[in-house]
Amino acid sequence: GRKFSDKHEWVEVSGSSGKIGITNYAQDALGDIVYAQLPELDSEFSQGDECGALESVKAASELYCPVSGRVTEVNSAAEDQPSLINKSCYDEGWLFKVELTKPEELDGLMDETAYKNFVRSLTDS
Amino acid sequence: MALVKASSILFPNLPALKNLRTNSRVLSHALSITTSCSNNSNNIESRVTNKVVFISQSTDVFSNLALEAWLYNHWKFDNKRLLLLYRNSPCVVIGRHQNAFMEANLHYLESAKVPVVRRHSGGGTVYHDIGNLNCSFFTDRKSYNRRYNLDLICRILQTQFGLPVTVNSRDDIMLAEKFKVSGSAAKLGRCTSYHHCTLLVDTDRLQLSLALKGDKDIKTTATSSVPCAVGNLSDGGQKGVLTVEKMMDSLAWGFLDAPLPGEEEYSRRASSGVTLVNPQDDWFPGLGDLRAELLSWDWLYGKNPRFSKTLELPVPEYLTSCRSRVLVTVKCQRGVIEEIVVEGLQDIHEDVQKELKNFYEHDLLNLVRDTPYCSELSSVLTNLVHTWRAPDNAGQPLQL
Repeated sequence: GRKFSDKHEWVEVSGSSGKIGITNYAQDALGDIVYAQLPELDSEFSQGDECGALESVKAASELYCPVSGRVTEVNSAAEDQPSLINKSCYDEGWLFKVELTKPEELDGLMDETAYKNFVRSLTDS
Repeated sequence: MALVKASSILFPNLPALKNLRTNSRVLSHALSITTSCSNNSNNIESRVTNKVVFISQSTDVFSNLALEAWLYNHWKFDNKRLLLLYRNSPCVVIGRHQNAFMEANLHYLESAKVPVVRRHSGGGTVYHDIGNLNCSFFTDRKSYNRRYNLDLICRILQTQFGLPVTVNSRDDIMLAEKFKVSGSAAKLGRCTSYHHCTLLVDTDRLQLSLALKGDKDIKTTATSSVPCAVGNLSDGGQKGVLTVEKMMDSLAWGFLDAPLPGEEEYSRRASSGVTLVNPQDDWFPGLGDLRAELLSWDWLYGKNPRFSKTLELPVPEYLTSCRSRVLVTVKCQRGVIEEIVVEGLQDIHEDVQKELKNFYEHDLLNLVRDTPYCSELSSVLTNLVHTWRAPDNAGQPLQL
C-alpha cells in the first residue's frame, strides 16, 4: 500500500523503488496546476529535501522528497500536461520514481488510515 | 545599479514613519536558520502575533529579490507577520517557471539597459519602475492568505485615497473594474510563504508595453502570462496627490493596525513598527550570494522550461537543387540547444530527405549543440549554413 508524509506526498514501494506523487488533499488545495518542475534524473535527495515545485494560480509550491533516494524516472506526461496531477494524482499524475537509499524511513510515514485521520484533523480545526 | 544608502533621497517623507531603527542589530535576534516548523503555536493562549514592516532602501531589483529569498530562508514566521515594501528602478521580472525569450523584449531591454530577472515565485511577467510599489507579505505557511492581503490593500486605497478598486477572480486589483493596477505571485514552502504584489502608482506605461513584447512564436509548456489592460492608480482622480511615498506610508501603518484574519482588532503595541533596511551582506549575511544567483545565466536562462522554436533556414549549397529553404525546429533544454528537427519533408524524395536530415539534425546540430539559445538564432544558423563547406563525398548535387 501507499505511505504518506505529513506534507501530503505519497510513496508507493515496489522492491527498492519508490513511486512518488502528491495526495488528493494536496492537489485540491493547490487548484489547477499549470507547471510541474520535477527533479532531474539521477539527482539524489535526502528525506525532506526540496526536489521541485508545482505551480498553480500564480503560486509556486515547493515539492519535498518524502523519502531519501536517487531519481530513476520522471513522469514526462505530468510535465507535458500538469493537469494530469489534478485529474489523477494517484495514477497517471504520479511525479517521479526513486531508488530508495534509506528504506527504513518508510516506517516513519503514515499508512492510508493514519493519513486519512491526519487530513480529517486538519479539516476539522 | 548603485545601492541608494541615504534614506532621505528615496523616501523624503520619512519623518512620518515612527519607530525607526537604523542598525542591523535588531535583525540579529531572528538570525536563527529555520530547520523545522514549530507545531506548538495553537496551544499557547498568550502568543501574540508580532508585526513588522521593512522598507528597503535599495532600488536594485536583484538586491530586493535576494532580500525576499533571504527572509524566506532564514526567518521563522510563527507568530510573526512581515510586510516588506520596496520599489525597483526599471526592470522586467518574470515568473519562476517562465520563458525569458517569450516574456520579455530582450533585444530592446538590452539596448535600454533594463535588466530582466527571474523571481522565485510563480505567476506571470511584470514591468517595474520607480512608479511601482512592491508589497511582499511573509507569513508561516499555515497563515498564507492572498485574499486577506489584497483586501487590506484595497481597503486602504479606498478609504485613504478614495480609489474605486476591487479584487477580481484572478486576484488582480482592478481600478474602476477596467484596468489592472496590481498583479500577484507567491512562493509556498514547508514552513514559510510569501505573497507579493505590484501596485502601479504612476508607472511609465509605454515602457511597460515595449518591455513586455516577447517572442510569441516560442513553443513551451512554461507558465504563460495573461495580458491585461493596465492602469495607474494616479489615474484614479487624484493626480499630484497620490505618490508612491504616501502610499508606502499608508500601507505600512494600515498593515500594522489591521486586525488579523478572524479577529476584531490588533494592538499596535504588539508590532515592531517600521524598519528601514539595506539589502546588503552586512545586514543580511549571505544575501550577496543569493543576489549573485539571481544575476547568473544559469538562473535566468538555464531555468527556462523546455522550449522549441521553428525557423526557416536556407539549404546548403550542395543540396540546393532540391529546395532552397526548409523549416527546422530547434529544441532547447536548460537554455541550450539540444536537438534540431527538420519539418515538412513528406513530398521530398527519400534520399534527399536523408541528406537534409543528416545536414540539419547532425552536421549543423554538432556546431551549435549545448550553446545557449539566443533571440538572433535564426541569423546565426543562416550564416552557418551559408558558410558550410560541403563534405568531400558530396561532390554531385542531388537531383530529384
